[in-house]
Amino acid sequence: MTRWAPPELVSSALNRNEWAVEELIAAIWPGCFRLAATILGDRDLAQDAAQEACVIVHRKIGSLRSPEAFDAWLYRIIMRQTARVRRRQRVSDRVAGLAPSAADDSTAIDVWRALAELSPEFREVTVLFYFDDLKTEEIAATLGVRHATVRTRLARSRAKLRHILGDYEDRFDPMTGETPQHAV
Amino acid sequence: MPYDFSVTGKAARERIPVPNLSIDAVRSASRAATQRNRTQRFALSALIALASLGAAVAAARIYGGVHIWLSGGKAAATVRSMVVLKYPMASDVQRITLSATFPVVMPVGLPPGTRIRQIMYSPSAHPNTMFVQFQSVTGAYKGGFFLLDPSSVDPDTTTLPAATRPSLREVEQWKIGGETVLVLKDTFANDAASIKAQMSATSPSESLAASEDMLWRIEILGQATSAVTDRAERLAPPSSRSILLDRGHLKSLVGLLAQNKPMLDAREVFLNDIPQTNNGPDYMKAKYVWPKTVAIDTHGLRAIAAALRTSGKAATNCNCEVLFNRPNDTAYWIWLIPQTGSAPVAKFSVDATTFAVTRLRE
Repeated sequence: MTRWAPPELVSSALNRNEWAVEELIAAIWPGCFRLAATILGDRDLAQDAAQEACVIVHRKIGSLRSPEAFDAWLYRIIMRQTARVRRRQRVSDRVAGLAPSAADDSTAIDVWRALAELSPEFREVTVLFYFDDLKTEEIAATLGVRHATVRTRLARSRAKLRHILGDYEDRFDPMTGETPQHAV
Repeated sequence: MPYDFSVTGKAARERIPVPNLSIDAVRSASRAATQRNRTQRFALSALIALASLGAAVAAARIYGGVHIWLSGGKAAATVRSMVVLKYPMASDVQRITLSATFPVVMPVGLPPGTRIRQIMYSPSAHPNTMFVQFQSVTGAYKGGFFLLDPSSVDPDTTTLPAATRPSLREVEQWKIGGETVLVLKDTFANDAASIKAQMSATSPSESLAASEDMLWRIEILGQATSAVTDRAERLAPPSSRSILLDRGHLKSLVGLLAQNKPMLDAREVFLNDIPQTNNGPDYMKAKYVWPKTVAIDTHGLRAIAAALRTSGKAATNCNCEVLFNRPNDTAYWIWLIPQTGSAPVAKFSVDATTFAVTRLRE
């Protein structure tokens, strides 16, 4: 099961069907951009990172062994590209945060504010865990860090988020890696 | 007020407006990056042996594109310009050796199954330096020989550039008539004595004839994979020119047809103005020039496309390589050779005027 695009489209793209590759890129683009924007907190930088991720998908999709590997592969690409853009632009640890859209209510604005307060390392694991529902093992593989590191970062993020958001809490125990229960 | 951080965050993220993506920009950036990557890998693999001798700012004015110092069993080199030819055929080697400034004795007596992977030479018009690189049966890199005009070797290592002094490496060296041969120490440790003896007993023309088994009998565009290449060489008619296209070249077929452009022979590339750094020649920043030699004209490309259509396959995903041959003025022969060794080869004859396709029995 792939979360980014229909499995049959991923399969066709794996076979280097040019049409399918371009369809796949069109399908993943919004998700790529939004994930990069959430991590980087800047639309222009996010566009740069997401577009480069799409270029890599276009170039290298044929080297992927199975459609099942696509999700993890794409996450790794996007996270590497956001890190590259951050290094190149010397984005400060604390980003300004995305400008809230007109439709955002006060709680959504709080979310952007809270993310902007987190350091990049903490923001990455927080976004992948809470917004993308990745397991901590998957996050570790995506970011190329140890599982224990992810759990530690999540625990600290959670503490910081609780402080920033005041009444925020969740039931996840990063020490056990249990399935997250996001609702308070 | 308590709320769900995850649900709220996901919903807020979904409201982020997404700019339009230019698929054309992605496509062209992807192709440019692929080409860049191919070129870099090609140059690196081609020149790694020479670079291992060391490099510095060359006094290339006297010595042409490559300057080699040799003294006391140690050698150093700098590279300014050179030509790299992949998968050389007998006709290519004949052309290069005939234009060389010295009587070239090719390496002979190498283990059976060894192939010449590429030849680097410099200067391009009249080479005084050649590097012949071999690959073993398995395709793994094995090593190579420098074949040099003795007059182009600098015996005075005190002239090594001081600023970026290249390191001197231990080499085996011997002289055969008007040729100096250098091999990096330990490269052919077990066979060096035998190779040296056999080369010493061979004339230039005899060595060329003896090299034929190590040269390629078809033009290989792209990367040679032993299973497909062996099959293609067995299938190719000996009397006419045959060209093998790897998957990368097949993928470019649609674009070339759309632009009405021929497929060029990219086996040979000229590297000029190779900048020197403290770490050696920076091949990535050299000027690359490919001769505009046509490998397959637009009619030939149409014939390949017609054969692919008849087979029900597309150039982008046929999982095969194509052997192309023109036996006479009225027809093309096309073989689709699967990349998996056991699958059968499909052979087609394509009419050179109508592009009507007939499936042939191989």
